[in-house]
Amino acid sequence: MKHSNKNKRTSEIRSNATSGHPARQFSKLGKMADVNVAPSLLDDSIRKSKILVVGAGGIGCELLKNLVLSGFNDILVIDLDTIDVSNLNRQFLFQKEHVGKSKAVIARESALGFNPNVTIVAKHDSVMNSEYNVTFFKQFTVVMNALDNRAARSHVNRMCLAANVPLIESGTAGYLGQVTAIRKGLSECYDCNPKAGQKSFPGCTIRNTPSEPIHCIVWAKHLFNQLFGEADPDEDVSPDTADPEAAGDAGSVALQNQASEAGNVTRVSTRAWAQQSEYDPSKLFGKFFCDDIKYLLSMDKLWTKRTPPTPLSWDNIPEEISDQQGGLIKDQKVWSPAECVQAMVSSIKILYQRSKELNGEESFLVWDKDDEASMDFVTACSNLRSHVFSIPKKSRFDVKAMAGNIIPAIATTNAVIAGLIVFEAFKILEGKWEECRHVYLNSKPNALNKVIAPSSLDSANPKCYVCSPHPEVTVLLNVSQMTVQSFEDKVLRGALHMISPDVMVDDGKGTVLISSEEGETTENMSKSLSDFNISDGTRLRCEDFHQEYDLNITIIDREHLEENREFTVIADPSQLQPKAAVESSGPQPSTSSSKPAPSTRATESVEIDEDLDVIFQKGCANDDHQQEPSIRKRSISGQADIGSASKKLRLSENDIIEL
Amino acid sequence: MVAKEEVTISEAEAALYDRQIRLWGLEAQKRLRAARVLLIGLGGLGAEIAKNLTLSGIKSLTLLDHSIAVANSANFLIPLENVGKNVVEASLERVQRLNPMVDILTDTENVTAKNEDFFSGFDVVCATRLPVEESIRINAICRKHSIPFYSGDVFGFGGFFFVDLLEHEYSEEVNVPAATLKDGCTAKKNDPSETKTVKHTLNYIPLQAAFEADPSSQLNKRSWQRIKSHFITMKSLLMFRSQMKRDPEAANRQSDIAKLCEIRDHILHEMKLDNQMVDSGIFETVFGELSPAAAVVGGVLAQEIIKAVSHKDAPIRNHFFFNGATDFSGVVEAIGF
Repeated sequence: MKHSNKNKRTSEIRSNATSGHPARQFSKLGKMADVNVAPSLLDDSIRKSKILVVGAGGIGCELLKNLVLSGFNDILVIDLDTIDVSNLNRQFLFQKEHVGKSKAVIARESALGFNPNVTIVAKHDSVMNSEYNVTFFKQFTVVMNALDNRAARSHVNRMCLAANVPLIESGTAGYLGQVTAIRKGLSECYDCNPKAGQKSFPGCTIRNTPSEPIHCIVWAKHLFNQLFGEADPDEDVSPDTADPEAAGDAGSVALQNQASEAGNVTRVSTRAWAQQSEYDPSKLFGKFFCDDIKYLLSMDKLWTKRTPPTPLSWDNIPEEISDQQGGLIKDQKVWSPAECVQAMVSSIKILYQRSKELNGEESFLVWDKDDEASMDFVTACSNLRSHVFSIPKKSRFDVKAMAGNIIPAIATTNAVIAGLIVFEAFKILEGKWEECRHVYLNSKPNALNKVIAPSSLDSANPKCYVCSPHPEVTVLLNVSQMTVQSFEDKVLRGALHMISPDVMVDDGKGTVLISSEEGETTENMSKSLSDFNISDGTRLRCEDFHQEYDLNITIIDREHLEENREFTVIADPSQLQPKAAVESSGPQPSTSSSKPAPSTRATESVEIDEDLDVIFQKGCANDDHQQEPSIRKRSISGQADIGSASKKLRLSENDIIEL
Repeated sequence: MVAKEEVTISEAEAALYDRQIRLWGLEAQKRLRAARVLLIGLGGLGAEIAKNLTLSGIKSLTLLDHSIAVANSANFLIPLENVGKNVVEASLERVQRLNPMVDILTDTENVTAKNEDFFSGFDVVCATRLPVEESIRINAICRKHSIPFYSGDVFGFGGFFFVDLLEHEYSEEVNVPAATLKDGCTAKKNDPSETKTVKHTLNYIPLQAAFEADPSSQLNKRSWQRIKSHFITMKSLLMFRSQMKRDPEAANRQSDIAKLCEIRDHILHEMKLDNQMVDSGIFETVFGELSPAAAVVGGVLAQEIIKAVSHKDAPIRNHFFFNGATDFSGVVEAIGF
């Protein structure tokens, strides 16, 4: 296949060498001054093009350099972020003196140093702002993403589809990277393939029965928010009395005892309670690492097969002898419980002071992995909790990675990927869409001895929930419990990446559920979906005017979902098991499909086969951070209705990161 | 070999290198911190390698090049006002700014004047833009002193490099299947598996042996098919450079393409291979030094140097080819074994 492509190109070159066809003047001399720019067949297209670069970080810096050196001279770069010292190992357009400044602005300044005659416009802004509408996107010849999160990628994908502008998508993680080209009607779009659901943990694991360091870290982050940040009812840190595993007399007795002792603890917000003692560390410590633990111990059903927790005493913090190796970075030393307490005390003092100094509406702190006190607090509290539950403790270095979702990053991977982006751009500018590829950068040679492995672009998913002619999804949720506000925030914006949705109920009356106009539907927000007669099978018509995106949503009412999830979004509802069989007694008839039979629990839970085209699953925890690309080394399973045999082969040959 | 001094990492370094230490570990970073690298030739490819290595935190980088900076070079380290100066002197400030913790040294002498003593002071030697005879000479010296050697080039849309690590020991992490969890639950699909460290040794051959090899008879049919165009193109370009004492240039486009075809035919004849095997379309794409090609080849090459210095993960053996005009692939092959 490759061989014939090459011949095709060559013969076109030969036959057109004298024909003067503007796009094929390969043999024409390049201008003397531009020996390092592509031959003039590309020259003109490059010179006339207008490029949008979304992101000025690891890929963005390298990309700007390549674009300027390749003769592009009209570029707009946009990034909402400022420069951090940890960027400097690879974002080479920035130096130490730039820390704190806008990435887009400084990137532009440095790139102009390569050629002052190019036009670069820098926007210190979010590409998801309404200012960047379809008309804005239409002005560009090619859009190049240099992003690190799904929401922005999904959004830019839609805008480019709406504007009919080619998009080059890319990503890196560690030694791995990918580049692909997206064009409406000609290829898959970013959302054609459902992404793996974000990892989340059931509330009871976080609150009652942690077994891994990550559970304790998530708990500590929630504790931070409960004490200093924006409290989220999904981020409760106290023992979960509704834990189905715990049901038993002992639990309810303990609850009554505790309530009578402490005066109905569960009703006072954690923050208000802490205020009462002015954030006295000994009181906080006593509640979270002693009293609450004692309470958990009383829920004895939880501990029949697990190691029970050991409460800590403020007056008797165990000292541990460190047997760690030398030569480590300070942060890589694991703290002893005493050191944890020290760090907890000092960080609480700082954070409390900070929250007192805030005025007005912004009276909460936002957790930031790069803030010393925030990081100390989470490290200390998660390790104390780990100690209580006999879970291995982690160093601040490791906690930071897990709590902050850090993806390791180096200069070389970004440099290679940015180079590959420009090669894809060349093909697009030459109108050679058939030569565009999905390119993988592997950590070692694949079966074909390739470390840089191109693969054919896939055609669009006919059932894509974004780019198909009539996008549809199905959402499983509890219509009596889900509020309109939650539906907008968590489902439409969070999972489906809309930014200003309008929603109408398809009930023949045109009931407006959500309006993108300010104030029009405010009174709807706190009501539940069932208040609008939304029930099993109801269809909602959603529109995002800004993204020029229409989506039909079918609601399926489920009292409970697996692992206490709040909702699940599915592309193809025909893959769901029927609900009807559940309530009957006796064994269920086995179905002919290989999928598991529906659960027979009275709570009507639906077994979602892991192989389903699940677009998004929201749990009760851990959704507050940006989604970083996850790294997987297996082929993606279960996409029978999208994937071709060659795609599966390609996926299993190369190192995959999920953009 | 890299001298393994007991180097400690400062807090400032830990903060700067945080994201890469999380990838390759503190040990690897310490080894980088002790590495003295010689980079010969500072064109577009050299600039990319210089940037990547400086950012990675090596001990020192010596830039050796006697040529003069020209306008519109793919070397982005040269401010326009420095055109006309020697390339390494013109690039020095921007390289140093990339990482003040690395010692950047410049040498404007012609490499041909450098003797054995000069090279023996380095832990890695990387040559670009050199006639192959000179690369062979330097590789032989490096071999004598057990110094890893690289030579690479970018021509137009593509490029290649050769590596000789003599006898190279490295470690890598391999996956061990996850054990069954406690409580009798089976491991779910997404549970992280355990890894263990395994050591290997790889043997390399000198550049002279590789350059004089005939892979058409040494490789299996499939491998040869995959790289023949890359290999023949590389040899043609290097022989052009040796014969013409310059690289193909746009001013002489047609005659240079004809010359390259002539050289290619000669190579094929020497290898007793069919003349029509490699079309000349590729010679249309070898003029100048495109920035994205330098970025790709420079990125892969620099990462190989990092791997070699850190003795972590399997390095490429012994050739890498990339072409951004034909197959858009980065291919590895062991030639001359």
